[in-house]
Amino acid sequence: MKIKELKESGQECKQSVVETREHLPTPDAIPERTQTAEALFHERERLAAIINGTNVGTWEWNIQTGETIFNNRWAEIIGYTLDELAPVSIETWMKFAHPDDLQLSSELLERHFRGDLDYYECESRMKHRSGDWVWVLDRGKVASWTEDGKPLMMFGTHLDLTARKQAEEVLRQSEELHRTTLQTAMDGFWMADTQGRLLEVNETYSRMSGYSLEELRAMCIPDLEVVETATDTAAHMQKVMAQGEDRFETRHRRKDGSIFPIEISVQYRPIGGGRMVAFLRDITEHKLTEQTLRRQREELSHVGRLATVGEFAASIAHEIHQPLTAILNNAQAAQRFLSAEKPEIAEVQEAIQDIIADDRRAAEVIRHLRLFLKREEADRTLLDINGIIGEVLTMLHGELQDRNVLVTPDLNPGLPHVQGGRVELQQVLMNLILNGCDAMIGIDDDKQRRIRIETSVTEPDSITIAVQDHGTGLGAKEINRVFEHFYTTKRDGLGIGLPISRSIIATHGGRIWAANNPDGGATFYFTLPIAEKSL
Amino acid sequence: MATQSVVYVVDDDASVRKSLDRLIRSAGLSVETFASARDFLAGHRPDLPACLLLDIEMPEISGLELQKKLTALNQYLPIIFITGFGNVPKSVQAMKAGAFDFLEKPFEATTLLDTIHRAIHHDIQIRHQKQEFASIRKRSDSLTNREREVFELVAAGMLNKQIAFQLGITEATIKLHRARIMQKMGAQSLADLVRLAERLK
Repeated sequence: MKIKELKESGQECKQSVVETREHLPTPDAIPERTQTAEALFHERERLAAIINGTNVGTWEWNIQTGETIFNNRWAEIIGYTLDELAPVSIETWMKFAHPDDLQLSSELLERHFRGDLDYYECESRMKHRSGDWVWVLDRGKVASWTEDGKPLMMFGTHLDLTARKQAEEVLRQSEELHRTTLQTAMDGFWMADTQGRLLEVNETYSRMSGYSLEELRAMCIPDLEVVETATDTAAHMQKVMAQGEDRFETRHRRKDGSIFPIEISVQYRPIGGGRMVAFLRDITEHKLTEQTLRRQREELSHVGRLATVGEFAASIAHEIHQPLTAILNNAQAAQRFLSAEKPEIAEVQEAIQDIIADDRRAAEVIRHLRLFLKREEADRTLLDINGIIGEVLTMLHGELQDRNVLVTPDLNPGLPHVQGGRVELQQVLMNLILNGCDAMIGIDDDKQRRIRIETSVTEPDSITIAVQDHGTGLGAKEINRVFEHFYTTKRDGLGIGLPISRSIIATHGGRIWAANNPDGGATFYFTLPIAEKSL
Repeated sequence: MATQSVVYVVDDDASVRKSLDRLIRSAGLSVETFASARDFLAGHRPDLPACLLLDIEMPEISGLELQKKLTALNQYLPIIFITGFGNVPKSVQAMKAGAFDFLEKPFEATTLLDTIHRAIHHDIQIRHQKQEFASIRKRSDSLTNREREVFELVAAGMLNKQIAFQLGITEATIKLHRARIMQKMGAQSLADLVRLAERLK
């Protein structure tokens, strides 16, 4: 198309648009028009309808003269009618446009005129009649050029963007609010993709970990995680995806290599290919408090244990005095047998044998006493109580045979583990079994001299061990006081007694008590909390 | 004394019991040991001069309880209590209840054996006194009522005249009674008779 033609048709067209908008003529009112003119008329009407339908303002600009033509919608966007703006020129645009945007607009126009841009497009603000700024999308293209290559006629549209801009602003503010919330949160925040790559991290986590935000955004979860391996983490993420969320404790490694405990609350959102949204809390303080509390509890329990020691210190002294007395007696007897006119060597040999045995017995009492007084946290390992019962029965095998006592274990095979000290729990079981044996000393019927040991899970978080004898049972007073007052019965072997058993069970977080059986004899029960890992 | 006496040991601790048995035997004494008060009550021989070495703390029947039981049974036996370290209140209690002595564990052999010897000697004396008393009692039991009346008044130091006056009988009759009394009681002199009367009080 030639420039001249464009110019002419453009002129005609714009005149028509203005006219048709104001006084829309019908084809019937102009019968003198030729068929061509009629076709033209229809074409115009069609274009006008399209423009009307798109609800855009239109502008036509003679760049060389500054003459402009706007349609009604152009004026309407800024709250006026065309009449109110008349006379219009390019000055009209410049008057209503925001000065900052006008600057940008001029630059863009220049680039379009130079041919750098195929068309001109600029989002700019215009002053509305109400005083507010409205956003318009200003687009256009030069349609004809002068003979010497200058832009001549340019046509374009204004699209009202205010509503969209407002929506965008609301969204932007909302996002900013969220971002601020996340950045100022006390907890660390992460957003990661399903590969574990960190997409978003807040300042709090950056401070916690010592990494900058940029560094973190280039990292993956396994770079920080200490407890889980990369494979574990992948499996854990699968689990979170399946159940939607999780909350757990783990440890992370800081940039300086130090490790800190952390509690993580994570949610999975199936958006944008899947996102892990996590809040992370540094629980160092919490753990320290926990440790301090535990230490205090231990100290208290040690004080309690010392008090208990005082309670039966006399009986322990007695336990040691017994073998010492026997040793001295035997030694002096041996001396006398040796210094007799006819030394009785056999007697002396027997005396020495007894001295050795009694010395060992005294050492054993002291060993147990030391074990009992041991302040340090006893080795706490995961233990199978059924296994310990087996060990104790092996250790007591000879003793039980000598005493003609039959022990029948009734052990729950699916018993969860407990956490505790093996030796200490062995000691408790030995005490209870030997107590049971002692209680049955007076029974003549071999079949009646039996002890039943039962293990069971009777409470959701603890197991119960019962040692049942068929002996004399306990008096009403004894049942309540048997643990309080250590009343030594000077048993051979261990025999430090029930208060120590009680103390041991207490330090394991369990309880111990005694009850008479309906059909005779007594049962000693104790509970032990199930180890957390077994729960 | 040695052959005819026995040392009883009651202690529930087997090693202590055995060592005491050995130590006492080393002094040439005969020993019988018991593991409990119950066993002792069932097994000891009250007729022999003896002493009892008794552990003060035992399950079931304690040493102090056994002491009470023996007193209740009127079976005198010198008791040497063996006490644990620093058990003063119980020792005091035992002594008040008539214990012969008490020894704190561990003790020297010489101390123990000395105490045992003293206790047995004491028991022999007591038994001797008891026998004597029983014999005097037996003799006094053979007196008639009138003779006993006269015996008491003679022992009180009254002259025959005074007795005759008080009982309203003749002095000659009193003299006859006195001769019978001297004979029955086995007294050689008036002084003898007064001594026997004293023992009977």
